[in-house]
Amino acid sequence: MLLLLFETSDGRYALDSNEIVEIIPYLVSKKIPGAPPYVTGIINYRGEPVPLFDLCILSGGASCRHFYSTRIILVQYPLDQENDRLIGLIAERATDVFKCKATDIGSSGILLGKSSSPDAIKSDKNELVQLYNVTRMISKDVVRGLF
Amino acid sequence: MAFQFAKKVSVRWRLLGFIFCLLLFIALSGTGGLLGMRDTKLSLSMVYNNNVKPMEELRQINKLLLTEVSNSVEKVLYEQLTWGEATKRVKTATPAIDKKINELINTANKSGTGADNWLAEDLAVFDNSKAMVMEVLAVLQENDREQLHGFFNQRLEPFLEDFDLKINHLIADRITSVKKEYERSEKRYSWSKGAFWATIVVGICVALSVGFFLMQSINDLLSRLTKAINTMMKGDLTHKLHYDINDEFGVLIEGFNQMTDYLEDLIMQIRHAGIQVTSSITEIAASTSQQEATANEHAITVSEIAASTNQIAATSANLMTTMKKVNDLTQNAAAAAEEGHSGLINIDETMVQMEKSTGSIVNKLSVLSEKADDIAGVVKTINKLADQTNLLSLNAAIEAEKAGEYGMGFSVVATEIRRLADQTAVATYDIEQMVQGVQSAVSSAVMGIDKFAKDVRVSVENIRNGSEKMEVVIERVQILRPHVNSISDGIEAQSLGAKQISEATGQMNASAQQGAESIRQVGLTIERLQQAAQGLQKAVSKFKVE
Repeated sequence: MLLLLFETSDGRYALDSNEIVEIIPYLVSKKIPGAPPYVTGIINYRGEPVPLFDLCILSGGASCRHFYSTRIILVQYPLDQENDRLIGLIAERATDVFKCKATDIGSSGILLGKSSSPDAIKSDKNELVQLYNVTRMISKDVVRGLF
Repeated sequence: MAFQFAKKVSVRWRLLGFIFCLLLFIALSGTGGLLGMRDTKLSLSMVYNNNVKPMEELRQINKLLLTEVSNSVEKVLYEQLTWGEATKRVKTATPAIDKKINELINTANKSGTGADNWLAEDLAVFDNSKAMVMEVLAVLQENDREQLHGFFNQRLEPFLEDFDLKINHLIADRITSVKKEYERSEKRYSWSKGAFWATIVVGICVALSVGFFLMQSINDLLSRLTKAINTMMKGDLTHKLHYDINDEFGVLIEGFNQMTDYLEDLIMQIRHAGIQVTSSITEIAASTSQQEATANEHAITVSEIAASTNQIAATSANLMTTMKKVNDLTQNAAAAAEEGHSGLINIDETMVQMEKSTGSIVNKLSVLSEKADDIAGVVKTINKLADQTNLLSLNAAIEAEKAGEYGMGFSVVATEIRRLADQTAVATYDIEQMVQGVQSAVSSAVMGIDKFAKDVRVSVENIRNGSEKMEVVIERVQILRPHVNSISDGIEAQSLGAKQISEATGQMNASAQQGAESIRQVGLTIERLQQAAQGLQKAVSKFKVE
């Protein structure tokens, strides 16, 4: 399987390429009044409005810095059985992919509610990387509230 | 009542009244005594005139009759005398007898007339005696012894016995009269004794009572006054006396109160003055100690000045030798300055050329900086391209992954593209670093050259200034020589002056020490003054005032 590597304010994470629709450069978004602080706004993606989630703010830090390598990862969010919704995740240093087998992914064995990702893998630079679980990190209620 | 009255009358009148009372009693008792004495004198003169004198006269008449007349007759009878002698004796006795009888009658007549005259009844006896004497004379002229003898026995002797009897009777009568007079005077004496004692007792009683009241009224006031004076002596001046009567004591007490007020005022003033004196003394003492300190400092300063002056004198001597050397050196300096001036002109020319060169270098460096900026812009573009290539390769790899086995070859291409993009990014990063290095080097070079140019400009300016100054120096050095000579003279004068100053400071030091000594004396005097002021305050503090 192919994993996209990126960074938030609290470390390096990986995301399964099957969940990704496209990676696009950072764009200035339109703000949504009354939304949580990690929802930075809405962009127009091929005529479709897409809400953006800043993963740096979501993991408890400041907003992502605006480098070339800071990009928007468009993913399909499974809201319920039929409906998938397109959302954008802002992440730093989303410049590399990493190929591995599904069996290489070891479990940390610890589930801490919604805020923690249980899965961990090792990248080729012998670096410990956690698998980012979008549905666990961003609650359905928040996403539903946006559509 | 009497006391109240006595209180209202002034002391003078009280005293005068008292004395008047005493004088009255003395006059009364004196008059009484005088009257008594007069009575006694009158009674004594009466006794003498009425009784004693007649008695004596009676006795003399009797004696004359017996001794002269009867005795002459008897002696004739016994033939001891001649007739003639006897007649002569009787004849000489007759006027004496007559005279005595007349005197007696006169005395008796003085005591009174008529019934009061004690001799009135017995006047006949004396007439008889006169007749008898005549008869005796007649008989004696007869020279007849018988007749004389008969006359003597029958006529003369009985007559004499009868006369003697009558005389004795009269004397007894006079003695009775004296006795009566004595009894009368006894009565008068006892009466006037009683009156005298009564006057004395009443007088003493009155004098004592009046004196007692007077004394009490005076004593009361005196005790009040004494008490007030005692209070005042203890220092309490707040006590005042009250007295309503306007007499001598009123004046005295008013005077006392006024005196107390004045004393109080005086004490207050003394107290204030004492406090003021004390504070002034404290100030004076403070200023005196300051003066003392100043004087000491002064002395120290003077000695320092003396030392400095000595040094100045020594230094002036050194200076004189130095000045001679300076004179030589100025000549050398003038020559050296001339040479320096020509050298400076050469430096100035070089500097102007250097300034021009730095200007061209700065221009070239700014061109370099612009070029570096261009390179940086190109590098930014390459960087952007590399980033977009990376993005593209990522999306391509994701799509290839989604295509599964059909996308395998595409995936490899995507990976290669991404590696190229990464290498490009690294290379551009290196270029960016280098360009940044060039840019910073250029800007620092520009800054350095700017600074250098500025320094050069400043140096040129300085050299010009230096050159001008050097010219001035040369002029001055040339002018200097005569001045150096005059300075040398001045220093000599200074050395002399320093010596004179040294002597003057010595005198000043002595006078400063004298001043310090006198200030110390003043300090001692102030201390004594302070003690006196404290004593004064202590003495005044005994007085209690409002």
